Amino acid sequence: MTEQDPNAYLEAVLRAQTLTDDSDELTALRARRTEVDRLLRDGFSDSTPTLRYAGSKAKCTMIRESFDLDITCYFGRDDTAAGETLKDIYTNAADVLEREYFVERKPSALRLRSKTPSRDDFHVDVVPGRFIDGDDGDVFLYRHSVDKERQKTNLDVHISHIRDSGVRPAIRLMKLWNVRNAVNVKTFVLELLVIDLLSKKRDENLSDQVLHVLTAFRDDSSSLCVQDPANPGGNDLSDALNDTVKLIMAVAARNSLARIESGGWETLFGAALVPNDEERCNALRNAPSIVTVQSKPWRL
Amino acid sequence: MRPWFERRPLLLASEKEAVAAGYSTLYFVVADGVARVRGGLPIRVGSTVVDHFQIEVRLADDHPTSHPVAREVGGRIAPLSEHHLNDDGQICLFLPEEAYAHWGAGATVRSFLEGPVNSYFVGYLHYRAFGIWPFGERRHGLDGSLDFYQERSGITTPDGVVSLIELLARGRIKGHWPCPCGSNLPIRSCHPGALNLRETVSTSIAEATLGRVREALRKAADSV
Repeated sequence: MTEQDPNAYLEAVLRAQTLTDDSDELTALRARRTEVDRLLRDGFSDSTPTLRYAGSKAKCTMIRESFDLDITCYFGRDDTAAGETLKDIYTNAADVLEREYFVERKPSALRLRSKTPSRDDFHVDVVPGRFIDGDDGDVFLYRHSVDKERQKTNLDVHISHIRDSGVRPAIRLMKLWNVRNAVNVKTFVLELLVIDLLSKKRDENLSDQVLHVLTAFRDDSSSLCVQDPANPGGNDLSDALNDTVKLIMAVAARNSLARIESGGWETLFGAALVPNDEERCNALRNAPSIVTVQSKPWRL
Repeated sequence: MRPWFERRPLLLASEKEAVAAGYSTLYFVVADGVARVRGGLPIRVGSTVVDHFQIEVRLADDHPTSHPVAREVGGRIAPLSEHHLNDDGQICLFLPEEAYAHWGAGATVRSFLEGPVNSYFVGYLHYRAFGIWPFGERRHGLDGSLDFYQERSGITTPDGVVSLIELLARGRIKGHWPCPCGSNLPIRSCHPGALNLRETVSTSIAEATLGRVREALRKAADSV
């Protein structure tokens, strides 16, 4: 199939990575969002924080194989009940969340881990911040454990830059490539790179777009750079795209292009696709009579 | 001593080649004196790929004598005991006593991936979907080991099972010896299944289990 119609194949790959609204994954994600929402609103009952989905859920670039729950928690410019300073807001939000979660302090986000291990398969990141003015969406975030303690950003600009880029399918495929090949480029950086590289190729078909991005990663990695669209001069992303990251991307892209060249697209994204939920359930239901090597798991 | 992959470069090459032939999204990393396989593992039920997981498989320092260990590194599996993960994130693919079935002569990293590793992830997905492990599961800790010896030997009393493990740990067990169940009959005519365990349970594995038995008895005595 792939040799005749690589685009149909890649679109099928993306369909298998799409979470339907009633899927278990999205249901669990919404439930967790509700929990975190309640915790923050109860914890800051004298404030009215603006809580929103961020990340791939908001940008419509989610893939089934790897997704997180990202929530922004922004306070009004004059709202001091949550804290006088950005650092206070960050610390107070962490304290509130620690009532029910283990909280890992990341540079901008608070990563939550359940105190009672849950069945959910995703990470939860909460990003506290404060609006700079009133209505344009610009916010300041506290930067934990880094030289520059304050960072200006704008969630709406990020979301629209990616959601409305016209190349979301290519972004989702490259996210899958990033995960499957354990390249581990930061998702935001990867999204910006894909958008930039495809700025003049939006009308090309999906396979040509992905080939173009991989070729650029392989051949021009040293010249790759990204700018935060919400703060082009002020938010330095160079560390997230340093020479080591570029080298890893270049090597993975070279291997991927060689595989596509020699064996077609299926060598990159798998010979058989993860089927839809019903087919998947049927396959799993029949596993005892199909899977030849069966082991009984244990725990020390 | 030099790492196994330096002493046996042809074995490393052959393992790499086999993994590459079967899995286009897995790759070898040899660093810090350790060989690992990393990347995305397609989970197969027959020819159907039902999911992918990010994994890291660490080959043993004495590879291929001891079996590799596997971890899910994508953060998709919550660290619940019911998911059969050790505290260090290592997947508990099987009881040490059952390792022989999955890592015998001629076993390779690829056969390990296609066998117990794939089996674990299929089981996990089945458990998430339907609430049960489709190929069965062992009780945690010592209980799971004791269940194994009971099933295989037919000896049901706890004292009898422990006596059997002691014999296996000593590395000597003969058919004409009195049965560890306490019947005073020869093992071969009382619980002959116990003799078969000589072939599959090594002295070191039985010693390790015996150590856990003694530890459990010590704790029980302390708590009285």
